Amino acid sequence: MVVVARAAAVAQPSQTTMAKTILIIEDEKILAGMYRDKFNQAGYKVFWASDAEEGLKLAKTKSPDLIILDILLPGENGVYFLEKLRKDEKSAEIPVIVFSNFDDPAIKKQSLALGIKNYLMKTNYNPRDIVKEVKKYLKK
Amino acid sequence: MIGNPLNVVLILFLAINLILGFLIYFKKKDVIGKFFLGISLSTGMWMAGLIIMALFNQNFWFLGGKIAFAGASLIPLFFLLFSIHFPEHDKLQLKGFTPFLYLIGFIFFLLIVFTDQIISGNVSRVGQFGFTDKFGFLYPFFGIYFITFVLAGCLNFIGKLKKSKSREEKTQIKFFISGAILSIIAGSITNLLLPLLFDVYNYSGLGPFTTIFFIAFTAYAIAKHHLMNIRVILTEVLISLVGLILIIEIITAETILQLLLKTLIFLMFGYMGILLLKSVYKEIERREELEKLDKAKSEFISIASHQLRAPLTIIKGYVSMLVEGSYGKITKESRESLQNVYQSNERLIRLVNDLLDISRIETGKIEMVLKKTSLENMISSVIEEMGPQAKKKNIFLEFQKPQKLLPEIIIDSDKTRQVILNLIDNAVKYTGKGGIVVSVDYQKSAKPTFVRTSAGEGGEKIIIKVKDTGEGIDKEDLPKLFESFSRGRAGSRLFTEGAGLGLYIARKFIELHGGKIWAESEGRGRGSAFYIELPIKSLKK
Repeated sequence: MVVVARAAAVAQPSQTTMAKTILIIEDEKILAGMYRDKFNQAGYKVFWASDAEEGLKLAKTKSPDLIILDILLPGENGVYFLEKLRKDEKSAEIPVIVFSNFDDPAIKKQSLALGIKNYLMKTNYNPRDIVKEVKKYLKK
Repeated sequence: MIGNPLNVVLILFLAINLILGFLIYFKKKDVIGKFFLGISLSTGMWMAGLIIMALFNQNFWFLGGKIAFAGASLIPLFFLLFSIHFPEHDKLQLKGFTPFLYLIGFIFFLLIVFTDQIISGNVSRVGQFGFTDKFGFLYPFFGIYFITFVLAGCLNFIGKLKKSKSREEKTQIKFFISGAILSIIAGSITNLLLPLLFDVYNYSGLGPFTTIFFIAFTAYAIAKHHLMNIRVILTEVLISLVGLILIIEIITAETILQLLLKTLIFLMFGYMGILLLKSVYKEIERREELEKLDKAKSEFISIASHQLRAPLTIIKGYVSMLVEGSYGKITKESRESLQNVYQSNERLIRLVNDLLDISRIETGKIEMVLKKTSLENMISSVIEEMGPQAKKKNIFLEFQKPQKLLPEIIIDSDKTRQVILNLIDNAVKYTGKGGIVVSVDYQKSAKPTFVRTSAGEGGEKIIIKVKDTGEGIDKEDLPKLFESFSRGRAGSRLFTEGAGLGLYIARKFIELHGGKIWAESEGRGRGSAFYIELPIKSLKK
């Protein structure tokens, strides 16, 4: 019942313009749901993958305008995803923002070397702040 | 024969070389140990051949010559194979060619031993230290093989040096290849290039002495820089060597009394040597255990903080969305309650961040990301962030910008921002009326314009000052302020929020920049001023 009530309260994206798409790669279901609600509310279309392999498939098939990527994922981690993404011609240029609670300097360095736009700590941002960040990188 | 001091040194070098090779092989028992032993044995063979020629008469020179060259033919092979495997990363991608490399090396070995196409074994003396042999028509090819394999090995090591990310590994490689290359070059000059290109054989007998570079550098790398993690090898080599000398002394004892005395000395030395080795083993074990624990602790802290942050992120996110009305309108009372939940959650997030920072500081795992930063812009953004909180308390929060534009300085901007935010946040917390003024000043000389800095220091500095009209600090509390879990008495009375870690972390971050942080206050109720001093020159990480 709570889920239905929540779904009804969240505003639906506008149908009049071509909505930008965001791919969220996040294994924490609750978090993914929260960001999806917020991005939908802000007018974006959202795809969700819970691991790196699924994320790679969606990146290739859906060609999102932006990817929000967690680092600690089941199976292969976010750095593996970035390495594979950059090797694929079709999806290599998709901008990626790492959004993780894993505060490891070595991983941050590796990710930045793989061309991410930013490495953000989840606890420093509420959903509204994330939408502001995303708008910076999505081309109009 | 053996009485000649040079011959004794030669035999000692041979002994050290072989002991080193076998000890490393028995410790490592992998391909690296195997190929290091190969270098050791082939060098030993070369040395043994030259020793035979030096010690014995002409009848043995044929044998000595063949043994020396046979050994020499395998040195470049094992050197190249060692360079492929140690430490890792086969730069020249030669691993797949290993059987082919073995084939080439052993062809030359067999040609030397069973034919006279490279050397005939008709050795004759040249001067005091030299020997000459009649070379076969394949000798130039042997020279090419020797030089090519050695060069390839050197290139492999140089490539690994460039690719290596670990400072310790880089040092290990540098020492090893320096010693090996010096020995090979010196040995090649006396025993290959001078004879082949200039027909000079006078120094060929000195070749084995060139192994001193290899032995000395490898031993130093083992002792100082944990080469192949077998620091204890040096202790074992030294003990074995002294033991060997004592055994020779026993064998060469001329009287029963000398024999008994030397045996006693040998036994005492053996006992002390075993004790010494045991203590070295223990020390190595303890150090390796500590290193493992340290690594496990770092990994645990990274994972634990990530796991702690996950539910905090969810709470932060959903509460903020509820307050914003993303899930429908809420009452004023609900909003206030949710904001309290949000603030408490933020405290917990800060605590987790602080604990992680402290853990990283204390294990030396803090990484500084240095880049040119405008302090004015940074301070302005912090003031903008803290503005609403100050406004809520009806206190002013001002930034007194410097008259001249400040130069950008090289700092870790995230950490510096955290420090400034902490100071301003504290100032807002502990100020009930009046306000806070933040200023920043650039200084070129040792004499500051308005603050005291450490005496005698010159150079360019930037001083940030956060002055408030708040609660003030007792003089007795000032020195303890920047220690961990410290809040000062005013802080303890007024606020129980925060674990007292912020200023400790601030101090550590500023010290990592080579800077200073301190506080001044006239006492309770008379406000306080916090200062950050940052040097402008290039900062050490």
